[in-house]
Amino acid sequence: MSFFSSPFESPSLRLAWLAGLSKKMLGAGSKNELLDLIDDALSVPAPGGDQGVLEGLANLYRGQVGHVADVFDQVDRVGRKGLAEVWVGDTGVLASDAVNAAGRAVTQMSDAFQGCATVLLTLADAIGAAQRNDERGRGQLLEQKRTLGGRDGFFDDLHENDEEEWDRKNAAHFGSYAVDLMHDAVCEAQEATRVAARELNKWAAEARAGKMETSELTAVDKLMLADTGVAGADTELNEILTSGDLARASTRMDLLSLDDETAMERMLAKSDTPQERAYLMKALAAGHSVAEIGTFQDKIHGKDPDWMRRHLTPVVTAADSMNDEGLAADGSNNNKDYATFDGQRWVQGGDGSEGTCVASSTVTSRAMVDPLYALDLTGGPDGQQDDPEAFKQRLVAEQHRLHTEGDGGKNWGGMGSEGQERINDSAVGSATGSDYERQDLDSAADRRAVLTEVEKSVAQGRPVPVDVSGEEGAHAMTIIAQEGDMLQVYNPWGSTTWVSEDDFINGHMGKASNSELPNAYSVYLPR
Amino acid sequence: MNSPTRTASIFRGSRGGAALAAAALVALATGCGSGTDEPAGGSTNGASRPVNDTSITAEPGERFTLTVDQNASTREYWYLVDPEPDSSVLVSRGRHRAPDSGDEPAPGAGGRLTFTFEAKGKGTTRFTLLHCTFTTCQGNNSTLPPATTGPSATPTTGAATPSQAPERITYTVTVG
Repeated sequence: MSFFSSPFESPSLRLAWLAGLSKKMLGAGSKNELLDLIDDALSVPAPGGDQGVLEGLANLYRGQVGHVADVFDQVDRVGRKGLAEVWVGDTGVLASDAVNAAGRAVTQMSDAFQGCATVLLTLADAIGAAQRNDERGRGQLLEQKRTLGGRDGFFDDLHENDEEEWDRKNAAHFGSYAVDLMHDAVCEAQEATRVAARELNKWAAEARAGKMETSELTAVDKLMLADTGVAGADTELNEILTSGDLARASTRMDLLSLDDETAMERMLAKSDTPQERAYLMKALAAGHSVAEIGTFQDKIHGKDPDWMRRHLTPVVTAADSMNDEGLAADGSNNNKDYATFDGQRWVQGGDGSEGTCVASSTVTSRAMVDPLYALDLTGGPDGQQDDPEAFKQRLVAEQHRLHTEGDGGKNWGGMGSEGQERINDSAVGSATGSDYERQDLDSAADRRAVLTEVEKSVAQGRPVPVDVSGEEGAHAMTIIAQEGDMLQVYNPWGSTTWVSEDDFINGHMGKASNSELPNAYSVYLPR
Repeated sequence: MNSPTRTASIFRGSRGGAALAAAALVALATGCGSGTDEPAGGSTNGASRPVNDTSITAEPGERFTLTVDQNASTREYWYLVDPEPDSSVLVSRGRHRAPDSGDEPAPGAGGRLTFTFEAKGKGTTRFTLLHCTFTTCQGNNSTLPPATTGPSATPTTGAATPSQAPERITYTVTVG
């Protein structure tokens, strides 16, 4: 969290302070005490933010939409003309594919500018409303101060007659109400800011092609890589390269030796499909050497995109996965999907019977960010297998390995927080360049406060482990994606589902498992 | 607390009797979780019986327990199911949980669940425990038994392995 130079700069402290003042006013014993409390309340700064500046920014964003529309028209015109089958870029992108990708990217850009403008206007309105509420509260406090008159001298302060008591209690009542207005204003401003940050972070993560700054690839190459989704699924929900992947792959490209870089470009150009190309870059993003990536390409080259999807991408998100289909009797979401390879779920113990939820969710997280690791599990040593039983054995062996590495309990039961942090660092953080840090969540306020960082992490493609508990025990799951106010959760029972921010904050996480495990008490943040 | 004959009968005829006796002592000594009918631990719960010994004898007024593993992370749950035992012979005195991992919750760690029974009057009756695991039950939780006790609808593995029905253990209790 950020460093505040004065206690009043922290909204949470301001909230606690104002709530306390409101109560104390009602219990104040004398006029002087009440006047002091009123002054305390007035000394709290108003919610910050300049409504005019925010609206100006929003207009700036909105103004770009016109330019983007021009670009779209140009791209559209080229696309309609039909292109000869030419290869463009350094990686052998088919020109017509590139134009289609460009068309989609332009539409997304337009959505982003519109979306951000809306976010900023919404924030501007909310800040304005909060500041007005705050002003009303302040105004009423000043009014009560005037009504009460000056401070009592020493002797007057010792005695209060009935009329003075009535005046004081009346002023205290209105004063407390006024402080509540100020308190609500801080709340509204804080929540509006959180939502705006979430939306802007998400739009920033969606500006994907721009994450590749390397000059080793042309704009067309970058566009295609950013635009490629797994076969047979909604592209926008299943892009092979996350925004973090794109940035890391780009950085690594720049650091490769000339020989390696040439080899890499040759591999990309040799690829048969955009998916193959994207998986190669994902392997680079995960930290593999060019030699390893070469071996990997030998295993996947020429395979159809379906083969690649089931071997290399454990979690596929369906377009209807966010629909609310109600709850089952056990408290879980009816709308849940299963992560499977040839019918065998990515599940703890291979059949759900072992308490290796921590190790198992870590294995799946690693498989989501590293396609070589996924292929070793699904396709075996030569990467060519399509055997669910063999996959199950390898999966369980790897879960056991991580369970042991994390000093998990005997009979494959349970793991402590130190082990959980350590194996996430060694298995997942090593691929995404992150250092996982545990964050305990002891209240709804804690959970609300951590959401911004959780959402930013998953939007960039860095999974966030979450531990949940109830009266019957505890379980580990992973937050893997975010859209608007919804979070996608992977459960090592082999399923994924979407829960809302409210579910996370207010103890309804059972929707992602069952009603035994409603409470998110800890997350591990990749830093 | 336990008469010598009672203790001896735990050791005789059961595999790992020493381990079970030790577990019985642990179940009696450890503080238990909340939400149950009976106070934690203590000699009022009676001797722990081996779970796989389905013939139980007891004196009128005697209490005994059965302790099993339960785990929310693997959805391993036990239930006392119908038909209820003849209440003139045997009554249930509730169930209580003790987590394995102590104060800090460890994801994936299970706990021990202890069913307590009290023998009432002379006679013979039966009770049944239903043992649910990940593969054998769907849609259940600690207090909600599965809707059907047949094979689960969506198998976790490929079609090669058929799903099993959950284990039911029926105990015959002779009081007298």
